[in-house]
Amino acid sequence: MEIVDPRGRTEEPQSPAMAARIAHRTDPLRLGFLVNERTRNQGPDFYGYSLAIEVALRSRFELSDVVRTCKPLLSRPAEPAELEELRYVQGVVNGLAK
Amino acid sequence: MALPALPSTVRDIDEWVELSHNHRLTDGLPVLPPTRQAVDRLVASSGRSRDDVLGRIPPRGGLASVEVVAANAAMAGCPADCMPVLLTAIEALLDPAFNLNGVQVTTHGCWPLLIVSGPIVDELGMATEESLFSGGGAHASVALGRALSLVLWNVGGTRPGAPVKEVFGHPGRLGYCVAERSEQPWTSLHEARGLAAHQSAVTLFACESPHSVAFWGLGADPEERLKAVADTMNPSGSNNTHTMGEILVAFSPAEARHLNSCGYSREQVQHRLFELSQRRIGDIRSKSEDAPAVYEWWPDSIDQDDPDALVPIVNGPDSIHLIVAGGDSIPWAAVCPGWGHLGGYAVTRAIPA
Repeated sequence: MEIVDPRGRTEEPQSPAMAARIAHRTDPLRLGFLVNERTRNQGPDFYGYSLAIEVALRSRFELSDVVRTCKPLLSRPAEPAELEELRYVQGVVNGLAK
Repeated sequence: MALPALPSTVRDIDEWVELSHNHRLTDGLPVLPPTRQAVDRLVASSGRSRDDVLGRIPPRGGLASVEVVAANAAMAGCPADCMPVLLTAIEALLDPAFNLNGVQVTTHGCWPLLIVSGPIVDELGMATEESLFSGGGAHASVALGRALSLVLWNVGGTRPGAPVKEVFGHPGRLGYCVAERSEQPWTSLHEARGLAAHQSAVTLFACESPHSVAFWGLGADPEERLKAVADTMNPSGSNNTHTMGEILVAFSPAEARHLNSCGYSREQVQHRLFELSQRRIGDIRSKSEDAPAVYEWWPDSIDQDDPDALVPIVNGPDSIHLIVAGGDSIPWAAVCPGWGHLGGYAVTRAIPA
């Protein structure tokens, strides 16, 4: 029997090279945090998690500046306004708190 | 990430069963082989080209062409004349208002409910009476729900654990489709949402499983009965109660007739449920120091420092979606809570004639 693949193809990235590792940098870093939610309402404390990560990163790297921005709705991607705030940072931390 | 290639042929049904499980082409239930013959028949009945693209299905981002959708429909055993319904449903899911990516991967247990209404319900022989939320034993109802779930599984890659973080799951992930009864005292769901009565339509709404509302201890007073429905719409642990959004309420035909005979139109029922389901802030939010003091999404008109302030559990009366369906043996209702303000909002699309 001939069968048809039900999965649908995806677009593979043309250039999968990773960004430069920040551990190799010597100049102070500008770091961004994209936080899911400004206040803790139910479940993870996204904002508190980002503060804890900042402390941990400051103990390992010299940070010249930290930009912290919050998504208007945690279930949706960041809006252009939030992304614009992060345009000039050298790294962005975005993750779930557990 | 590219998936391992599938062989283009299988010897027999036994090889297909093994292949389908080894390549995770199914969520665990057995599926029919998407043979070239079956897929071609479904594509032909869609009235569209096999290469037409509906969009990319999140979270994986697989390309949903008509042929790929037809392959999943074949696996679900979908009747050929269901294809226009299925394709329209997928297009509705991809409306940004629905937030399909979030719906599929959230910790919350909501899942897209496919609601079919209009003349096509009877044309396809869909279930509108007993057990309709589990398909009512109707081929088209079960197969449409199943096909939609397989599209999300295979093309969307909605796999438990990674990336799906749903804590408990939803039985409807295996298939979640109902049809609205054509004979009813009110306007149909799609007419209430702006389409013409003679059209057929799909409405996609992300919601929990139905919560039963039996009218225990009540008489014929419609206000008391609507209060019983409202009490099922607003429990303390509900996303709706804390964040508003949308909700679905199903009335059995007998209850819809009763409310109508008491002078309640569809719109009046929506307004009364909106009012009756509001909660007192002091009853739903803790005073403990580690509890949130403010919900940013509540309207500014609500004084969040006042424990006696009443808060709505949906965005407005129109956010209470009513359908009339179910067995006609007894007055009853069911409530399907939504995902709250996070998305899964109802999207209605006309099915091309």
